[in-house]
Amino acid sequence: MLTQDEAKKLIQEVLAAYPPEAAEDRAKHLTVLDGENTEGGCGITANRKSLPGMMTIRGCAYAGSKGVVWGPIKDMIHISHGPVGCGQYSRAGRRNYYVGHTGVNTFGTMNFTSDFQEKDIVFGGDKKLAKLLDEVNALFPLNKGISIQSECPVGLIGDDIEAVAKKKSVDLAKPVVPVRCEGFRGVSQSLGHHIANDTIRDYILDRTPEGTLPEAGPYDVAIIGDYNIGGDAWSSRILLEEMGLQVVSQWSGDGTLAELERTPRVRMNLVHCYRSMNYISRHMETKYGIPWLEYNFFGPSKIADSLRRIAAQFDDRIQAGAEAVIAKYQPMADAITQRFRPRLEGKRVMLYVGGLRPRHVIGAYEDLGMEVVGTGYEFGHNDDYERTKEELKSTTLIYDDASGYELERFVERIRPDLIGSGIKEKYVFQKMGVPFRQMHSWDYSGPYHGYDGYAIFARDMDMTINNPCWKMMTPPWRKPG
Amino acid sequence: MPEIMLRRNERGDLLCYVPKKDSEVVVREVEFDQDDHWGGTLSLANGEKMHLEPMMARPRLPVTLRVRKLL
Repeated sequence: MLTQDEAKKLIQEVLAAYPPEAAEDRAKHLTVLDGENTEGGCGITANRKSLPGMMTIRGCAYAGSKGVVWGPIKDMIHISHGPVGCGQYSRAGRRNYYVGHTGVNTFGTMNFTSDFQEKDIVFGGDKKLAKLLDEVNALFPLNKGISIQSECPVGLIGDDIEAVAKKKSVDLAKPVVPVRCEGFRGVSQSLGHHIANDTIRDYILDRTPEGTLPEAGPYDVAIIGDYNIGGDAWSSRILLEEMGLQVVSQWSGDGTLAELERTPRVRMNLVHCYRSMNYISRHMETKYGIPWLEYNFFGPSKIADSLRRIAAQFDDRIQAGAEAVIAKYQPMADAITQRFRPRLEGKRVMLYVGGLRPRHVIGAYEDLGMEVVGTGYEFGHNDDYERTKEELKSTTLIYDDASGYELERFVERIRPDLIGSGIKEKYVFQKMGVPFRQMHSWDYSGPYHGYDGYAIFARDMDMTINNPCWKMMTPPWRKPG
Repeated sequence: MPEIMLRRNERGDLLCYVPKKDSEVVVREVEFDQDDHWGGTLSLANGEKMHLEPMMARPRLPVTLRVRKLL
């Protein structure tokens, strides 16, 4: 157990290594919270530019738009407009699963790029883009639309991708969406989410003529902000369907253009990832009057709680359905908890991920008897930290946009039993002898959402923490001599 | 004159979202909170205060409004 004072001292120790100016800035991003102080702000500064020289693990606006929001829409082609690397190194790494024939009617794991060369930088890339759009449409005629994801050079040289998109959209009779998500915009991938949401609003939702959409059924809902990592959206969707709701749209994991277009005619938007899709939910609430509700499908307690909260927005039939779903799956979840809890009880976890996970998975760990002693967001905003505060029960170290140095020092001192973070941190901590799960795309496992996901989540955590390999290695500071 | 969006969450709290800052904060108090007189100074949970021209009726939420930041 970490006490409030110890944690504060630890922060001071870490800050002592910085020059005074940097220490002053970083002090605003590190804090200690316990479950009690719920009044007032949580006093953390978030969504600020990372200091030069910091080993930040943030992404860029392009990553937020192409990688997160647009990329998983499976029947559209997403062109990485610019040099080849951005698209190729982000290709299919997030494991947004989908059904379809890749290269025929779905394009999720493919990389389309305009492969900028020197001459495109010097003379502009608009002609190349126009040619590319024609080519890609001829080669893959079953695509339902094309999005142009700008990489840094496009913004730097001032290409007019909007004009090309406008013309080609008419020529091809398909939506061609120019997305101004150049990597240098904003401080992290978070702005990319915002830009992507805004382009969906402008080029997809507004493009659908008034009155052409079918009337909403009484139980139509949309899943917003579930990217189907390892099949997450599927294991969430079946629960909602079993309780009587009709999921007409998935944003954007395993989602299609038609689903996006249809969303303004749902009764309610169910938001899983608040950070990346709150913008479009707010828009739909203002323009179409669709209420939205955040939910959490990690771990049986949070699932049951979320199902009841969702059901409370509908009639008795759905409420009875929710209770039936919970009754059906609870024995299964209990069996999993019974099996794994004795092996995981009391283990301490540190998290450092993005989006919704730093707060959403806390419930799942608690179901397994584990304790989250530190958590932080790569690119969260203040409202994320406010929401996190409500989830915390004991003293927890909070770090916003932590650098490699800070994380390593925290881990060295706290010595948690498990770390959940990204790919870049994985091997550092494994070499330090601390069990690690890559929580960006579930360490190539998943799904983790829903009751089915909980089974896999519990197994994975047990597999990592109780792996015999950790007993076989001697960390450098324990080696004699 | 920043633009804000007001809405209520499930618990009934009034929330103030500032698109420019991309941040949402609970509104602790509205100076005039009557059916025929609504607005005035909005006190936010993070200590900021904003002035909203009082309206003759409660707005239908969610709503986008212009406010003046008070120091």
